[in-house]
Amino acid sequence: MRISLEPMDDPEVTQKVPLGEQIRRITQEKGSFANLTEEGLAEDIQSPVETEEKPAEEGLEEGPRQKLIAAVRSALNESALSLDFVSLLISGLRPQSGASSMSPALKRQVPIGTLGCDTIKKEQTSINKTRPGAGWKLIALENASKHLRGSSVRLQGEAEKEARFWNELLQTVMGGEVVVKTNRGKMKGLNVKYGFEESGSTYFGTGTGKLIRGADGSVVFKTKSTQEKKIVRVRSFSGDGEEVGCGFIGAEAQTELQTARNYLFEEELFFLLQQEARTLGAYRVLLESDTIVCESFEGRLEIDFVEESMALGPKDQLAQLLCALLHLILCYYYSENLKKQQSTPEPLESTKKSDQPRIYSILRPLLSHMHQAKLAARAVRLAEMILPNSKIDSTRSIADETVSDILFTPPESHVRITAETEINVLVRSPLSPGAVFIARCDGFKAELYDLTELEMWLKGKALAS
Amino acid sequence: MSNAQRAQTFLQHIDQATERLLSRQLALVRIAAEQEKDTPTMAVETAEIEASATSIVRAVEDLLVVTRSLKEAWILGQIRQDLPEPTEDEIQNRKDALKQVFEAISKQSG
Repeated sequence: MRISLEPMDDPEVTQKVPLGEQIRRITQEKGSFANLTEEGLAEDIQSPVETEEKPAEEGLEEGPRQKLIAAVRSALNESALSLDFVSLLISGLRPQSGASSMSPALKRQVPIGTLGCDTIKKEQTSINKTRPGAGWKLIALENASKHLRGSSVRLQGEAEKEARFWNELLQTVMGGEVVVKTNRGKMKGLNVKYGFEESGSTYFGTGTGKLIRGADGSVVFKTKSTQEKKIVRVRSFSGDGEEVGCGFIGAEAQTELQTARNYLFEEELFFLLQQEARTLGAYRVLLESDTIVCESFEGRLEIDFVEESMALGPKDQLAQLLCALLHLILCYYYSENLKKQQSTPEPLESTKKSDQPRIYSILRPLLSHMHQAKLAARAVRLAEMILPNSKIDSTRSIADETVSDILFTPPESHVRITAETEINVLVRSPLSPGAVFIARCDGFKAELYDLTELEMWLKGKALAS
Repeated sequence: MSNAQRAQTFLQHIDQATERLLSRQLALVRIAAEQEKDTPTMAVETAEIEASATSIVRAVEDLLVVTRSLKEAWILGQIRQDLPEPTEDEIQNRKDALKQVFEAISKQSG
């Protein structure tokens, strides 16, 4: 931009531009004052440039000139502001260099280094970018549908199994089994009590099994794997030691639960029989290496505990009956115990009940019947021998008021011998206390304790008549 | 826990499971219908779809557990009925049978 040397018309402008500034401008344009000559100046004044300028200057009206000046000022101002802005920005990173170009006004207003900057990238969204996302979504939906379909099949199967399990369990419970739920320990889950605990059994076997849902939803019964498949077997031997036959009651039942219960029952029965047999030594009941041996009518009976598969041989009716009776008697005890437990409890007593395990009379009733029948038969034979011409008749009586009477009341036989005088002999069971034979004749009564005494007494009566 | 509380818990479980079942199903359908989204959102939705499916299955399983515990409470919670008392005739039959057995045993002594 060229600056005219002519004095400005505007007095404000001429006043405003100081002399020093004017000199500086002149040296910039025309060179040093040292080279200034009159001719040069005259040339300048009359040069064609000026004549060229003249019309231009003349062309400019007063208004546009002012406008130009205002524009230049505004530009100056703007650039100063920009400089300040850039300086302040730089001062954020390099305070020294920034501060050097900042205007004093700015420094006063704003602390150095208070403006920072960063690049912000604006993300561009386009349809192309959503495509992989849509694919993922499709895959995910497909997976989800597969998962749901698979799960629905599985859950349907599960529901069917569940229904079957609970149906069977309901039947089990309705069948009278005691099913309980345990939350802790090894037996966690559903358990069934198949033992005879409630019936007063004190046997060590817990009699508790687990009920598990099988693969097909059925109720699977699991008990301790060590349960022996043994049963109580009664064998009868003839007088010369030959085995006549045996009797036993099979334990296999329809369901595993019942089978397990049967085996447990057999185990308990034999345990109780052994316990009882120890107290029956006086009646020639022996315990020989886990076999109970007792006298029968002619020979002997052996009760042992064997594997069910081993219990073979011809069946003997007597042995079978005896075996059945053993089972029945224990059942009777258990049912009585159960009744007692379910009834109203007795009032508390100060006397303590003994902790001794109760010994059940299971063999006793059998022995009682067998021995009594044997003695009655012998008594009849004896009478026939001693009083050959008499009429002898024997009647056997069994108390039959209740089941308990039949089982536990010892039988009695009345032997009536009719000769010149009538002799009545009451044959009692040798297992009940007191005399075995009570003989009556002519109002006299004699209590006799064995067959020899009866023989002597009968002989005496025979002689007397 | 009293019975009322138990019933309350059962109802709560049922409600929760049903609510979850429905809301998850709704979410699945809603997500499946939307398309114009940016990639990260789509990725999140992808995960949400699978999570929803799993959640639906879980809710159904929860319902199964409820029915299971209901059955359990019902079957194990009832009072056991005593076995029926034997009738007079039955007792008489038993007595007769027992007597016969004893007679048979004593007859062997002959």
